[in-house]
Amino acid sequence: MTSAIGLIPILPVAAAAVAGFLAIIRKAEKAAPLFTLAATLAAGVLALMNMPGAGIAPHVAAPWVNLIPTDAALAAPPGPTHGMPPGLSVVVGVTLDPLSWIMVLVVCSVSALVQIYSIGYMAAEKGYARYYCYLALFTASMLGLVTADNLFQLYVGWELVGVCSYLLIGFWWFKPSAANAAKKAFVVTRFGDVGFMLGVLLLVSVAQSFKFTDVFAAYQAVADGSLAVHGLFSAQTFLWLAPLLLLCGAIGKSAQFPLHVWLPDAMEGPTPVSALIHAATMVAAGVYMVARLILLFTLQAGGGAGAALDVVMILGAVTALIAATIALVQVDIKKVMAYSTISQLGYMMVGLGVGGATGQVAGMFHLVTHACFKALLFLTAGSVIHALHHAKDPNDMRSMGGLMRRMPHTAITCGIGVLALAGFPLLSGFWSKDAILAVALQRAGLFGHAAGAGPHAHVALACGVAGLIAAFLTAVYSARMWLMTFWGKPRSDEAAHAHESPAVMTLPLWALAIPSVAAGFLLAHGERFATFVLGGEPGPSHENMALSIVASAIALAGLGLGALLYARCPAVDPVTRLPRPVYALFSNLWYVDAFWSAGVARGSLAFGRAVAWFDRSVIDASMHGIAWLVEQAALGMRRSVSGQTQTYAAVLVAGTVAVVLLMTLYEQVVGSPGPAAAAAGWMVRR
Amino acid sequence: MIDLRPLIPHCLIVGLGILVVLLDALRVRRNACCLGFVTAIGAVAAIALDWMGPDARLWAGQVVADPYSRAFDTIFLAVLAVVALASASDEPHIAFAGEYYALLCFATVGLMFTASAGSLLILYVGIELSTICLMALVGFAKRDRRSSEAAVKFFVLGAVGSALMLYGCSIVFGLAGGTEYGKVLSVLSGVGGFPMVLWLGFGCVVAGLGFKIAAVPFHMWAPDVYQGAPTTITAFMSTASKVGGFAALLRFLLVALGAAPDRWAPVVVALSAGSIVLGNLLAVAQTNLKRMLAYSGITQAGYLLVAVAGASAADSGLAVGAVVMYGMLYGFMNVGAFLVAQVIEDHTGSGEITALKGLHRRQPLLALAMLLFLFSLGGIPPLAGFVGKLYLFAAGWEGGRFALVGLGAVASVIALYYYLMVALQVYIKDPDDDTRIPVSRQVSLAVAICVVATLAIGIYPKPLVQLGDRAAAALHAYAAPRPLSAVPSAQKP
Repeated sequence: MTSAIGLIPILPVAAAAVAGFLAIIRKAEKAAPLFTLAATLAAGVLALMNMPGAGIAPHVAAPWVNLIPTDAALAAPPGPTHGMPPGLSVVVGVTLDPLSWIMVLVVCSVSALVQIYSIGYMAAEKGYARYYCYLALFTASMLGLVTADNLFQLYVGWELVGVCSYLLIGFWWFKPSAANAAKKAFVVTRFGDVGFMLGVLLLVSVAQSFKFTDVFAAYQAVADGSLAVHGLFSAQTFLWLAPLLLLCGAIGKSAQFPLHVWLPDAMEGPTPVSALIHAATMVAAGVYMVARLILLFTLQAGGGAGAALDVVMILGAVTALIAATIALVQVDIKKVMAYSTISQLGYMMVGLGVGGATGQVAGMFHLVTHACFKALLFLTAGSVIHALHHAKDPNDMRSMGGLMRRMPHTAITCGIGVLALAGFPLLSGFWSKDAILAVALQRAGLFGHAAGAGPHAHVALACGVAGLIAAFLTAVYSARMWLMTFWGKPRSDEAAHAHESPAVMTLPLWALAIPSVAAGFLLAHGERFATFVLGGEPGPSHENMALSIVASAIALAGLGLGALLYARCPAVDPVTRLPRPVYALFSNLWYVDAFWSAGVARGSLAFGRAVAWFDRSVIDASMHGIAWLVEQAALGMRRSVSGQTQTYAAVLVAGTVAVVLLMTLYEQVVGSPGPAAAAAGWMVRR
Repeated sequence: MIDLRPLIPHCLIVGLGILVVLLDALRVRRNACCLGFVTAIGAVAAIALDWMGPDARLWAGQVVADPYSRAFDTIFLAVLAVVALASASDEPHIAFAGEYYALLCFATVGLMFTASAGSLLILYVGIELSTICLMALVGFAKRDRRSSEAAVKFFVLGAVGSALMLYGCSIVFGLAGGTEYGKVLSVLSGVGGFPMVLWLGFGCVVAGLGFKIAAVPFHMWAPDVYQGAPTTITAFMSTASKVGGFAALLRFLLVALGAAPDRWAPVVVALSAGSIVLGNLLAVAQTNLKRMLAYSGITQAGYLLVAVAGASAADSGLAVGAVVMYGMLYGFMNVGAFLVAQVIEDHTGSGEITALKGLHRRQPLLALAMLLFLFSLGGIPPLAGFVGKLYLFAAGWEGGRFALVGLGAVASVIALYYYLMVALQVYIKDPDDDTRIPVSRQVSLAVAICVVATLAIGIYPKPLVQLGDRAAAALHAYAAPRPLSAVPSAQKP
């Protein structure tokens, strides 16, 4: 069965083609989910049947592009390569090592649930098959990304999920806000992707191979000094530049400060899409990438600098903290969740920033549990929005309230998700958040001690403390969100007459609620997750009772404060009574968006106008000139095509004469006559 | 006793041609479209039989059956199958349907011999066989004045080309004492030297082949003939017939003239540069879809010649592989584009590019197919045309033809302009009327095959690359000078 794992990304592609076909012919659109769902489930089952064991990773690969001459019979003596690498060889395939396997399961299960949910959510929408086509395409791209064993495939998947995200955010393209949001998401992530591409090119140029293992080996060799770096950079520069360039990609894709601004806008897309792409999977791709290539970040720390891990950790902590404060003051239910997602992704980065296997495990663990409860939260939000879709702004929590009685399934599952997010003791979020805080603080020498290479202790300490503060804020805004939505009395007619969503939407909620409760305990118990990821060797335990108690206390305090403030449903939102400058800072999103639009965007526009002038009056003018010349030449020559057979025949004969002359006289005219050819003339023997 | 097993597929196709004529004459056409299907199935069967046959050199190496010839046979037969399939829906409407398919089959056999030719004699016979059959086919729509005009033009110019080639052959025969490539090679690389007038002969042969591949300056017939001929025939001529010319040209240049690449290489460079520049410029100015595709075909021949220019007897691997690859994928994408053109022309009665206006509203799947063919012809990844062009230019680059590759790259950008002008009509412009354009099941199937091939080759080119590698290895082995004792002595007539 191992060879069948090659089908894991292919099946959803095929399903996407079928759905796209249905979308084009606009017939039987309702059948689209059958295909995409079947393909997604089949991919998941294939992965389940091929679980990686100790040291065994199921793997299939096929050479894709190969410009290296292979045939021994044709092997000519090596000639000059004109400064190009000796050949380009790209292998595509599916590798299921523990890290990939976990991601495949997360992607397939969340994708399948979202597709089921969408049957209800999108039922009344136009472009039903188109929607499923994009979803399947996204699933395939994401599967291709996570099963890559080389940078090339990783990069291709990386760009493809970006395209799918663009298509899905802009699914309602006729809404200007959706079209703009799609554009913004694409452009902002592009900032990071440029860095990522440069990083990939830099690594490949040194390693002369796309394969992760070769890249790691080359990086290690450069660090050891056994491999020289040619070109622009010194070895030292290469060592810190390469991981930081890769990190740029993660900052864009995983919405880290300061490129997080696209994710809240991306909420313009259909809510199930937000659950799948902008909560559970695609935004986690950056985290996955850093986890996958953690060796590059850690090896360098082994060299004594530690800068790359410091940057990862600081960025993560800043993101976690800032996003949590913004989430506190949002009134749009999806925006709260979007900022919450950004904040949680920041957490994962803090975990990864510890470096090595420890950081990898902590970051990935939170990725998995977060995928469960955040997908759940988004889907419950979708259920609420679906129920209120007649309202002026169905996303506004100020016009909700009291939905508990009207929508019990949604309310209870959302409550479970909220508690998991807040880190309520023993729910899944508690375990994974605890693991991140533990490894970070232990790096700083608190609650135990960590050995090996990693970030600087004072950085780890600051970030760990920031994580604790963010955990408190998370609990507060979680409680606020749930209470404002479901508690108290309805604050609008629509909320008073809302109806629970159909079973096809509530069943996926319950299906996600179960892992949101239990996944953390099941995976953390006996270090099961770490053992699996590390391929059989149980990692050192980072559990620390004291820290767990502190973290629980913080979570409970935050939830308690939230309940205290919001349980009585005050008419004025208590967060607006924060000190004025603080509230202004939070509600203005820390002025990051303003910075981008006023500083960067306007500056770019001014620069752009100058360039545009140059472009119009110099470049375009000359291009138009060339185009005009081409056109005139074409028209002129077209006139020469007379249609006269005699002319044609004459040209034919003249051409033949020219060929013969070129063959015989070329050496005399252009080339250097050799000793034999010197005597060559008409009828002269060579 | 000569082992004739390698010729079984050739015989099969000849038999197939006779069979369809008989079927037609006996009015076995109960199901009106059966002749096309019979031809297509026969062609596919011939591909299979071809690859099962043994490698051999018949009649002192005059006919060579090796993976090189088989790779090209596969291209011709695949194009034959697709074209026959696409013609099937017209069967009830055309007189002499049996003759139509029979002539197509005979033209294909001629091309197969062209690819197998190991001497100028067989080369000439193969080329003539295919050209004469095509002359009849070009004029097949007898009541259409354009078709007749095209046939006459093709006939007259073909005769000139043929005469030039035959003249060249006779010079070579007279001076070298034979027309087998091995013989020519031994004369060229012999110690005693050779008369320079031999190059007059070679030049004429190259000109004849240049006519076949429609390279500048031997291209002038192509747009008129392509425009006038029935579109399915145009599709066949612009792909199979052109690729056949390349099959012969590569073997002739790399084997017979393998000892003197510095003499023919400048000619190839000149033909290539001329085709790329002129083909492109003239394509820009066209308003008729088939004419535009004809000029684009001249440009494509120029791209193929980039790889040929990069080849030399010592290291032809990448170039031969690239030409085989491109021949195959070009066959599918170009036939596909012509088939779409035919559907539109049949329905609207206009061959202008503007007739495709708003096709996506009138026939969305056909519009998508056309878009894919155009993008592939333009060389946009991940479609077949991109991979093919990558290999062609890589071969040119490896052979040191940097300027030519640069020219090709610039030309590719200009080419996008006229391909996308068609796409503009298909997708952006609104149609004059919204009625659906009907597409027969047979044509749909043929277009679908072309779409699948264009996509599949683009996404996973490996099998085709391997085919190219095999062909290249075979040609290399064939060109390698062998001890004289291993060459069977020529049989006296």
